[in-house]
Amino acid sequence: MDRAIEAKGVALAAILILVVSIAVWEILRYGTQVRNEIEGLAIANSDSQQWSLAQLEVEFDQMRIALLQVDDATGAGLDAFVQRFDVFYSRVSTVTDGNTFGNVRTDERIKDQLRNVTAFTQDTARIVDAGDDVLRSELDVIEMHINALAVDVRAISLQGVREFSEVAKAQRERVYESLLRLGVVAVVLVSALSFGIFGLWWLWQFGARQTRSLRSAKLRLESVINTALDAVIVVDCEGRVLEYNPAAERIFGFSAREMCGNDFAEMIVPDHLREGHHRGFRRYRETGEASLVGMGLVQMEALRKSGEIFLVEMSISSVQLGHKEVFVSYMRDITDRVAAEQELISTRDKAMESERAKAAFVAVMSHEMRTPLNGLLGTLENLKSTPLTDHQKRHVSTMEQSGAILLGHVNDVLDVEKLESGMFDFAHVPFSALDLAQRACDTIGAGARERGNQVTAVSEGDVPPAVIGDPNRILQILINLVSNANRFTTNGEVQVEVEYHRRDGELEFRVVDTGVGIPEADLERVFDDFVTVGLDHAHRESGTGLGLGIARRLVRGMKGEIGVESDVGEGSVFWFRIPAAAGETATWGHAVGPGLLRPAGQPATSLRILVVEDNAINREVLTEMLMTGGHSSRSVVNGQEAVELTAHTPFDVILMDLNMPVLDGRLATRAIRSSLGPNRQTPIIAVTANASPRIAQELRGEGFTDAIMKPITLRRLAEVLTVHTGERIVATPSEPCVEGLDLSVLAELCDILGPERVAHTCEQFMREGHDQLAQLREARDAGDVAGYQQTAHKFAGAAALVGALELRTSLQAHDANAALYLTPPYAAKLDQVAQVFAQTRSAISRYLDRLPAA
Amino acid sequence: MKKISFACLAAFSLLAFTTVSGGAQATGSGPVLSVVGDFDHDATVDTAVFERADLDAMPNDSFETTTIWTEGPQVFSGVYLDTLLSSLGTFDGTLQVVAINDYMVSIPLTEIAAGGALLATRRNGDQMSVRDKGPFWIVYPYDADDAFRNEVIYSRSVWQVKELRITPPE
Repeated sequence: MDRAIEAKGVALAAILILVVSIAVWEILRYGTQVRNEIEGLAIANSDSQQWSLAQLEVEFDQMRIALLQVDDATGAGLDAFVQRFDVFYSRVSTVTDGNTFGNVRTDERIKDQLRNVTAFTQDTARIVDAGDDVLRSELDVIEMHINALAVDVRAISLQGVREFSEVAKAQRERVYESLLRLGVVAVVLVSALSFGIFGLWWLWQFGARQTRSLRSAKLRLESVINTALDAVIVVDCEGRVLEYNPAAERIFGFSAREMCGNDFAEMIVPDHLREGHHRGFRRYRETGEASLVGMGLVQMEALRKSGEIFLVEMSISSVQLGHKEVFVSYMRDITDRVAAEQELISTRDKAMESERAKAAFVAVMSHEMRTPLNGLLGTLENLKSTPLTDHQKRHVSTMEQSGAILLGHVNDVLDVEKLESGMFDFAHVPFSALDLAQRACDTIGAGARERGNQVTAVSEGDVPPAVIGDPNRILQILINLVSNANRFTTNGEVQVEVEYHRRDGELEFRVVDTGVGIPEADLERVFDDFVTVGLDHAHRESGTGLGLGIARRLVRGMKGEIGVESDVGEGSVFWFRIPAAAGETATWGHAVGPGLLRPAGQPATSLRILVVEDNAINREVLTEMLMTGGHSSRSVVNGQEAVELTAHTPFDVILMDLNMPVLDGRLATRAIRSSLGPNRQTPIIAVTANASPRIAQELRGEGFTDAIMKPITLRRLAEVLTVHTGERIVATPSEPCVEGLDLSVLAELCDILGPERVAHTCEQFMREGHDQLAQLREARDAGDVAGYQQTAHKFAGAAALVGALELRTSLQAHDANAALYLTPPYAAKLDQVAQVFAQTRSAISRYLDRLPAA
Repeated sequence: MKKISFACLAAFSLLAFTTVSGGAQATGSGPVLSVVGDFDHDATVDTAVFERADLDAMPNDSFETTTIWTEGPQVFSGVYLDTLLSSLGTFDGTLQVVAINDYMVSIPLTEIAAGGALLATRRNGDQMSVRDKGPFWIVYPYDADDAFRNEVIYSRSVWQVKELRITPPE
């Protein structure tokens, strides 16, 4: 309601009541006055007084006539005269003594006349009372007096008339005045009442309008509440239900009749929340401190009539109605939603889980493929250094090429995995961008010549001598783009343009070819994974379709952009630009030399290398490899010995196994780094069976310079030594070779150790494997988790050495899940290991049989 | 008086005059009051004459009141008109009161009741002479009620009454 209107109405009513009261009061007052006046008129004796005064003259005249009729001779008519005199006498005394004749009596103008009249009656009475005789004798005198008195009587009579007409006039005026006032007041009253009636009419109209609009508002509100999908419950401050809509009936199961007037807490608040609810309600009433009211959406448990407890989402607000406060709550049954959400979450979790599992599987698989591949390629390298017929050299070359392609694919998949998982670290070193472009061209050189293409690198504008970035990754991208361009171009040109945008601090490479081009429809897809566009089958076989996807990931990883523009038949331009600060001197490009697949040469320097390895076979292989590389080596069997030796003997490189008795590799490394000995800063390379990028990083944090993964190949060993010593140590004439399975590792071993010792190693492995399997069984039966794990780990290492990859994978699983595999349901897992071991043994035996006799 | 032409009435009037004129001398035949009317409902006019002694013999009443014609409270005593008329029978119509000075007034018989019009024979215990508004004076207890203080009642307060005439309704 509008307070202003209400106040106005009250003021109006007050004024009206005041006016009417005053008017009524005035009417009563003047009414009384008029009544008094009229009563006064009634009581007023002016009529009878006037009559009396008139009668005075009449009766005087009658007496006078009676006197004239008296017969002087006989005395007849004397009695009549006496009677008339008595009557006159009585009249005179009435006028002189009467209560109401005061004004007349005291009037100065007729005072004398009255006195004369009174004197006459007194005198005459004496004569009359003296007897007839005296009277008769005095008649003349009386007549004379009467004649003289006539004038006085007349005067009194007239004075009376004047007097009473004045009184009457005054009285009339008073009555007139009172009536006038009464009339005025009556008019005022009538006006006030009319106004009041108008006011009442207006108020009534207003009220009716208000009522109508209130009623329609109420109807609207009711229909809104009744059709609401959410439960709407209104309760008073005692918790009693005032409103309860159909949606609430549907949700809670209680009918409105059951709910209204009852404490809702007893009906729809679950037992275990009720006490808390009452406490909260009490606290709100006492302190106004709200836990739910006005707090927006809250999720709570609620109770259905059926006793089922379910989740609602609710919001409560409070409304002040006069002195009362009511609470309006909206509730929504979110059982379905919560269920759907949970299902969604679990579906998502499952999807993510399977995605992770898939990614992990791909990573492991690639990893597992790379190891034998490395062995294969290493062996081919070694093979090339042996005397071969031309025919054999061709075979080796073919094998080497195929192996290189396969390795490239595996590396691609690993790159994708690493880039996706965000574990890719980009270097920030100064390098020469132009050199990089040139190197990419050089790398493709041979292939380009085959296709009759000319591959050149040019700089556009002013390219700084060095920029900061990750040269290896940029080179990877460039090689990918250039080889792509080469692949789609025949007898044309491929040009790598380098441009540095100083203003943006961005380095841009453009690989421009004059090849077949890419249809516009395919332009957007070329960077997607596993997409190969516009190629015949021969070409398609040589790519995974991941190359450009990786390039894009790498560029994005470096916060850059990559793109392509192409005209079919004219050629394509692949470009990418990455933020790169300009530097002064390139340290990277020059140090590494002209290319990754550089022609091999003899080592410039022989390095002194310490091998720390507890496994005899590994020790032997490593030592042999180093010898092949032209280095001198010493070996110790645990970390403790290494620490002691390094304290006084300087080495150029230390190859450190991680798991060793007495003192493990990590602790030994820490000791060497913190010592004051000559090897404080010597590169220490971790030799580990399981080198994920994460572990490699961890190891670097612990003082290792780098990590190298078992099984070690000559090539990898050479790379690592080159990187960390600046020396190339391995002579690997780059000629093709190979065939191979999981036994390729053995082939490399044969290269290094010779068939005889490989055979010896294998036999040792099979013997030891038999013992370790027995140990595993014992540990399993004894429930010795640590022992089981240790044995499995060792066994896996040995299996890896001989290239028994399936066995190794299986054992690694046992190492990782030792606790689980010791429980009864998985007990049979070990039997699978035994089976794999048996297969491995027969495979090794077959391999050994084929070896040339030592 | 003018309307009534019966001879006997004229005779009584004359008698009354005679009687009154000699009242002061205490002639033995004091003042009389004539009442004229058809007392026995035989369509002929009857006359009753009351002497002061007759009236004194009837049930007397008295009250004290002021009047507009006198000074101070007065005690009037005499016979209520109602009582007087009842002794003659029951009547309808009006009562005409005639005074010595020929003043005449009509009073509806229905308005004559006990406690109202008193035919006073004495004022303050004394008989009243003609000079003193006697011998008979119809008075009302003016002080007792507002209803007795108006012109109608004043006009009916006839002094020096000599005759009462009961006239039937027309």
